[in-house]
Amino acid sequence: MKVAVTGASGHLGGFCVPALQAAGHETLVVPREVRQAGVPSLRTALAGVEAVVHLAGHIPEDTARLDPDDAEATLRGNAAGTAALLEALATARHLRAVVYASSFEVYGLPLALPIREDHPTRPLSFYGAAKLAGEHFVRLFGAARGLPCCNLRLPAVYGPGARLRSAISNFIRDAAAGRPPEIHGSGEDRRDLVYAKDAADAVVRALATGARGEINLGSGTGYRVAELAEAVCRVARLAAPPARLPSRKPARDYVLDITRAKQELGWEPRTRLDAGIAAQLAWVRAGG
Amino acid sequence: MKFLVAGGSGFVGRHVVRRLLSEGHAVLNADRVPPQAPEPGEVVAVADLTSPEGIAAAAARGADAVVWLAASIRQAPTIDATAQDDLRLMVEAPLRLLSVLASPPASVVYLSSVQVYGRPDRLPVDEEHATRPFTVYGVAKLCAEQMLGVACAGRGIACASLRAAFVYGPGQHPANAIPRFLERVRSGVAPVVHGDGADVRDDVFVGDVAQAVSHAASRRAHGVLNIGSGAPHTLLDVARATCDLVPSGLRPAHEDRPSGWIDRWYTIDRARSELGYVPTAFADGLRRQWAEG
Repeated sequence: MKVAVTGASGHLGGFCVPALQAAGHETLVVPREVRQAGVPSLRTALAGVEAVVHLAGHIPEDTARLDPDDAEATLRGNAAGTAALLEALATARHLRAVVYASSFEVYGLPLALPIREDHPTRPLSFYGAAKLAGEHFVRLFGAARGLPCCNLRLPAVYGPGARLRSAISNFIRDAAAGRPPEIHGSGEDRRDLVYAKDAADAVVRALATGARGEINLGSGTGYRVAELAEAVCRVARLAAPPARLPSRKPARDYVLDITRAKQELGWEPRTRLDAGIAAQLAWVRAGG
Repeated sequence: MKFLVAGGSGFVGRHVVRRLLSEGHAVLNADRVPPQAPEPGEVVAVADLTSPEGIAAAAARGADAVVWLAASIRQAPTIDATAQDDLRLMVEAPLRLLSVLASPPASVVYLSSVQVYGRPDRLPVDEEHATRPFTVYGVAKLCAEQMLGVACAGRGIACASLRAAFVYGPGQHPANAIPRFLERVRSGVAPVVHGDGADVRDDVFVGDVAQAVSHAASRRAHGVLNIGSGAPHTLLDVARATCDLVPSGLRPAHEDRPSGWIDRWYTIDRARSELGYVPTAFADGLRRQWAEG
């Protein structure tokens, strides 16, 4: 298929484009300038596409921040950006599928673990709220066009190229600088993550299977924060154990249920934690 | 209190402005258009709220409480150019207002809609029900609830989102079912219901929405609250009630065609307990609309 990819220059995009090509697709990169030039330019760029993988979005440096300026940029970069893309696709006659990279932040405070896709969506961040609006637009678009449209809900994505803050990426940066990773609080809280290449594999499978609706990605089990820090120390061969610091915010467990991804996509995370950490560590050490 | 009402010239807006003024509050109505008949004491700022200049004009006098009613009217299930306009007016504009107000208001009341729920999984629908809107309008309202909630939480501002059911009353757009029924009865013609008229509806009186807005601001309410009638009825009930307004012995007529309606009924327990909300009986609200148009 001729697959348009937005956000192709981003972390996940860097893994998706080769994965799509390896699966036999022709990829069409939709650059940021084209998206920012408005709907007519997008429409021209998307002429003849058969599928769209929408990865582009605005991620604030710290999604927990409550700055109103972040709110506007986040709204525009995610909700409005997705609306513009779908508006441009209204005339795409050959379109067969849309895959949208969403976030676990759409859920907000977990009421039950692991978090299933039917968990209430009450985001506690601008980013989560804006991503959720994007998801709803994708869902409405799919319903109106009768097309398979899929919202993949990703936890923290790690691997070479990861520039966003997350526990694992912070630990890897520490380790690359020769510092022991810093654990805030007990380290007993559980986090979820997905290796970028595995997430790209899920995108390819979502297109191949004509997946519809919301699908979580993740490790399946989650990891204790201390476990991640220890893994980073092990892989980096740091002599010192992780440093312990006072807690900054209430400990909260986030683990996504990936049963649906297994069933609908035949997907599961393939990359072992140590291998993923080693790859990201090598990238950071090489100046990434 | 000093109220800033965004969208005070519309159907709900007129009732909110009147109520707040009658309670002794100062009211600035910021709207794209001036009201047809301004209330004594109402200050009007004609402003395009989607522009930075419009928001600056609205915010210039400051506010103790912000009431955001401004919204698009069109409610389509498809994503077209209006989707971005909806986001600008219904989400981005109130966020921007919060950031440009010189000092944060004590409370924000956002008029949301039961459209945020989408197709009900069960009846009645309470505030814990899943939110899967099937219109762009519903998506924008939901996004606004959540983003304003986050923005206000970070700044110590109380933020209530009122999920209004179907609002009726004096000033309602004539294309809706209740004004159409009233118009027919006024002309001595029977109102027409599709099928058996068993569609379950939740029609809330516009004065009750104004009541909820006022209470939410004064009590600094927080979170999402359904604002409904508390007493759902069927379309046939509505048609009969309109017939009963005149002594002519009119009976509703039936037209044999599927209505495509989705039954709606929303719980108002939370509004009752947190706002002291008391809805108006439908017969009373209908008589007001009959008398006032």
